Amino acid sequence: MKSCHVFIALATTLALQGVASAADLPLREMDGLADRDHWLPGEVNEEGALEALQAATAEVATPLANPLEEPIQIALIYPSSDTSDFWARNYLALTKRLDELEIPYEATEFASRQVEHSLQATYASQVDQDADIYDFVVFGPSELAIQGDNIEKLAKNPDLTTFVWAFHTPLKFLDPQPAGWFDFSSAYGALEICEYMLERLGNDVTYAMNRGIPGITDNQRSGDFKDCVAENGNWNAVYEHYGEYQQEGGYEGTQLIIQGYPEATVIHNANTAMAMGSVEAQRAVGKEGEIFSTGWGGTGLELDAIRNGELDATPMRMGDDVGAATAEAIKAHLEGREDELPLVFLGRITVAHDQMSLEELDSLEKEAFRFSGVGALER
Amino acid sequence: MIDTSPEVPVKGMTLTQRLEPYVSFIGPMAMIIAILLFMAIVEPARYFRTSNLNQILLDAALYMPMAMAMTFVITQRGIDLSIGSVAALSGICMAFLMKQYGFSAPIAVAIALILGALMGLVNGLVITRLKVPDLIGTLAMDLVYRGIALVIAKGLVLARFPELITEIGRGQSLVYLPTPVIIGLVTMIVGYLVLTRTHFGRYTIAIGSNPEASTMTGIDVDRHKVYAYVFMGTMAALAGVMLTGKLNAIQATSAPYFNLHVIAAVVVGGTSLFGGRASILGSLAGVLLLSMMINALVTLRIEFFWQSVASGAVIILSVALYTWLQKKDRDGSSGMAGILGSARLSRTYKLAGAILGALALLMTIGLIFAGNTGPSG
Repeated sequence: MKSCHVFIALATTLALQGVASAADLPLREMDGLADRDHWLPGEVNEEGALEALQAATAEVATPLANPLEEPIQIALIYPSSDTSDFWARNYLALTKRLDELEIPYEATEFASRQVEHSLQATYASQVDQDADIYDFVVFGPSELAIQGDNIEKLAKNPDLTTFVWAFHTPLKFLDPQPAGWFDFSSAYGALEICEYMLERLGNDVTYAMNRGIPGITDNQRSGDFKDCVAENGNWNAVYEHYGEYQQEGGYEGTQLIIQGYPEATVIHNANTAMAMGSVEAQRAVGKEGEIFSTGWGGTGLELDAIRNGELDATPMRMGDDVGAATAEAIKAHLEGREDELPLVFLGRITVAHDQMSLEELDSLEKEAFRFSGVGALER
Repeated sequence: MIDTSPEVPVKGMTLTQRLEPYVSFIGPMAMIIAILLFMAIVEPARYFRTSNLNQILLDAALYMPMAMAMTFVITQRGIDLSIGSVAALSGICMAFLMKQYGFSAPIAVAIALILGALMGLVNGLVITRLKVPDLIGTLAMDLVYRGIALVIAKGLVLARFPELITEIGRGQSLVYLPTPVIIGLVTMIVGYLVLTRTHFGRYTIAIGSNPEASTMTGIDVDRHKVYAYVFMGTMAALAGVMLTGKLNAIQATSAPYFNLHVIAAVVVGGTSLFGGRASILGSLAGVLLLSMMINALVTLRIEFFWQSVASGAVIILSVALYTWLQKKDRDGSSGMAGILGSARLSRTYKLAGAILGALALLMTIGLIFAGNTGPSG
């Protein structure tokens, strides 16, 4: 694609048009703006832009107006390749939607483990110096604040259009902002599951948590949940185990909770792997029916556990929304419609639980994984 | 070359004998040359451009101070598994002092280095006074330091530091080389001088060669071991400062694999894990080799998980090449061919054959009777 001179000029123009300057933001102010180092989606999205992209993502694909002769080049930098299928599913959703949109592409993956911040910085530098190869870079930061400078470096490169995955809180200091942020709001998910749990279990519940790795993601998934149930239902967290998002961590944490805090009637897990570990630990001592367990994400494994009566509820992401929306954004950039895009895209989240019928669960699952497929991934 | 092999007359020596003092360096250099040749054939334009070479040096620079100090620790028959946590805790403390208490950057950096030295001192005392083996002692202290870092910072990411910090981590204001590369090379030169020109350097070799004999000759072994760990802690803290500057951010969980990377680089560079043989230049070559290899794999767009496989393979090949060049193992038998062809190994070969045979048999049976497997529970 980069060999096509006409497109180079077009892409450069589009990239320059697509970046938002920090000086233009916020579009409107929300509570606590001065205390935050980041914008909220509502502060930076044009009215109706998010809803329009969500709708486009959910609809049948409309092919690119002017077909490309050569494939676009996409660099995909992402962490936690060793523990999560989140990135693989996003990637599948992105590429399948690109296929539907009839946009030819070639993608290069730069993977790392979750905590390898330095390696991600290296990847970002390498993609930056290879801007003559790539048209688009999709960057899933290991931690947002740590990779902030690298996001800015890529966003500044006029030969690249940069999208950020898995975060939805644009840092204020980034100038320019990348072309788009695509994520599910963990904070929104925490409020959804909090609301559901309060409604179902009432007030004054004693519970425990299998938290992930200290950081923004865990602060939202676990911290926001903890604040919400404490504030609105007077719930009491007796123990918080950091299981590092690993199945062993969930298993170990649950063993400790069962032994040391038998008064805990609910275990909140911050991801699928820990939820599965927690379920196994409960099953090992025959407690799976006694403790109310939550997961995070609504992956196929979690839904199976709900069907089996081992997991009780989970904030379920429409998993393929992020990848599919990114494909739609690429199309908008290629068609010169980037002004129509929201700076922050949020995928849909709904609570899946054990009181739903099997048909309802199946239907949710099909919608969530409409591109990457229901069941185990085949790569 | 900073090898510590005894000097011998050159006259009448074979080529192999003449090369022997340099073999620790030849292993990683041979691998570096192999990578360079390979990349010169398959991807010369991208690999050899200035920006990429700059990138390789920047990546390697982070590990240079630690590899230098680890050379001393390993030469004394020690090991330090806590360096990642020391780096993270030092970086966190420095960041808090600047962000929360308004300390100036130079003072905060100096305090971070002293904190690193203090953590090294604690490591040394745990090992020499409490008589906890190095491996266990530093592994336990790794947990302690990481835990303290998490207690202090929890999930907080501290970011956006003054110019001095980013200059240390990724600055380009010096003429030819990035600032962290200069810092890394300076630490290597200091390490060379300390190893070759000071009593501490000579005692380090002596202690690693034979601690009991060193004690009998009047060397205070424990005190010099403590010195080595203090040196290591200081350099780990320096790496923490460099990492903070490189990312312009720090978090309690940062630097998780520093220990494995640095130990691999030092061992690849010819420093013996059994002590008594040090090579600072070899450690530098080891650090460069690992950075060059990872960069090459990324440049070639090879899947991430192969990086682990390739790193392990390169470490084995480098050390095996070194052993082969030495033409002797630690028992004094002949080189690699002799080791692999030894009659004593015939039973091991039979065992390997039996394991592979059993594997092949079970795979065959498994394939014949393959079907659906029901999950438990």
